[in-house]
Amino acid sequence: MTEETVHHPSRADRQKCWKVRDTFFACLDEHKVLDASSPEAANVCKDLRKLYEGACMKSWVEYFNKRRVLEVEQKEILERMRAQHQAVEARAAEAKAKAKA
Amino acid sequence: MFRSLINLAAANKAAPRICPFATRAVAPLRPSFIHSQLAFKNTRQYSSNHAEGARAQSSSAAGALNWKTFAVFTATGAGLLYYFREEKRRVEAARAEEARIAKENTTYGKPKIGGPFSLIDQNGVRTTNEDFKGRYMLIYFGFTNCPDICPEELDKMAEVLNTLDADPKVGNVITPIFITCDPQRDTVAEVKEYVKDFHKDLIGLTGSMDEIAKVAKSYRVYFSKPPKVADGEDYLVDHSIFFYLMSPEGEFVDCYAKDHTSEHVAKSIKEHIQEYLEKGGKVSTAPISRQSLSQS
Repeated sequence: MTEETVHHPSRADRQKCWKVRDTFFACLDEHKVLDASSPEAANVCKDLRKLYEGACMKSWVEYFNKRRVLEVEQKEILERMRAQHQAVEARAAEAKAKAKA
Repeated sequence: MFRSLINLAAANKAAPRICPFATRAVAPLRPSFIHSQLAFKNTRQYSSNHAEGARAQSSSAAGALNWKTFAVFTATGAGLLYYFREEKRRVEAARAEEARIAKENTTYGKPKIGGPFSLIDQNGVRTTNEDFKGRYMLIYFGFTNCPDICPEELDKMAEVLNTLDADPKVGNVITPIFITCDPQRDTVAEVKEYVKDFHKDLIGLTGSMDEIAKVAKSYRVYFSKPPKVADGEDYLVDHSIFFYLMSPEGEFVDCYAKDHTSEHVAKSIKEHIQEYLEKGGKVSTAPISRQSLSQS
C-alpha cells in the first residue's frame, strides 16, 4: 500500500445506509415481519434488501437486524412491567379503599 | 410549656405539700425540651418559692396572680425565650454546617475518572494529556466503523461545542477529543478522515492496543472486540458511550449519556465552567495549536 486508503464509511455512506435500512425495515413492517434474518423475511422486500445489504457493511446489517428485534422485545417487556405496576397500584388502592370503608 | 406554667402557679397557690407533685410534673419535661441554664434557673427559683409560698399562703391567700406568681411567670418566660433562641441558633448552625459539608462533597467527592495518557493524534504526533491542560476536554470513546450511535453522539458533541463557542459567557474553552477503542483498524489516516466529518476542532487519538486499553481503563470505559474475527471480515466494537468533561487541570468534572440532549449537555457544561471561573479558575480560549504540538 503506497497511499493510505480509508476503509471506514464516510458521513455520506452512513446516511445512505441508514436511509435504505429504514425503507427496508418499513417494507418488513408492511409484511408484518420482525426478524430480517428469519425464513419468512427471505421472500419479501427482496429488492430493498439488496439495496440495504449493498449500502451497509455486513457487521452493520447484522447489528441493525438484531437491534430491530431487540427493540420490540424490550418494548414488550416494558409494557408488561407497566401493566403489572398498574395492576399492583390498583390493588393497593382497592385495599386502601376497603380499609377506609 | 403551658403545663409547666400552670404547675408552677398551682404550686405557688397550694401548700408546700403539693410541691413534690408539681416538681415531678415539671421534671419529666426537662430532658425533652428544657435543659441547661433554663432547667437550672427554673429549679432554683422554684425552690426559693417553697419557703415564700408558705408565707404567702398565710399573709395573702387571695389568688394565684400575686406579684410572686407574676415573677415566676416572667422568669420562666424569659428562660424559655432564651432557651428557644439558643436552640434556634444551634439548629441554624447545624444546618449551615450540613450545607457546607454537602457543598464540599460535590467538589471533592468525585469519582476517580481519567488520568494521564500518551497517544497519537490524527496528524501522527505523539500527544499526551499535558498538551490539553489549561482548557476543558470533552472526551468521547468510539470507533470509525461504528454504525450509528457514535456518529450521532459526535454530531451532538459538535452541536454542544458550537452552542458554547457562540455563548459570550463561555467561548472557545473546550478541546473535543475522540479516542478510538478499535486501534487495530483505526489508523492515524482513518482517524484523521473520520474526525473531519464532525468538528473542525475535534482531535482524534489512536495508539497501540496497550495504550488504548490503559486510557480506556482509566476512564472506566468498557470495550470489547468480538472474540473470533476472520481476516478481512468486518466487526463491531461493543463499548460504553459517555462524554467525559475534564477540567483544565485534567480532572473529571461530569459525564453525559446518550439520552442527554445537546441542550442539556451545553447547559450543564456552561454551569460547570461558570462555577469554575467564579472560583477564580483560569481557562484558555486559544485552541490547541497543532503546529506548536508538532514542533515540540
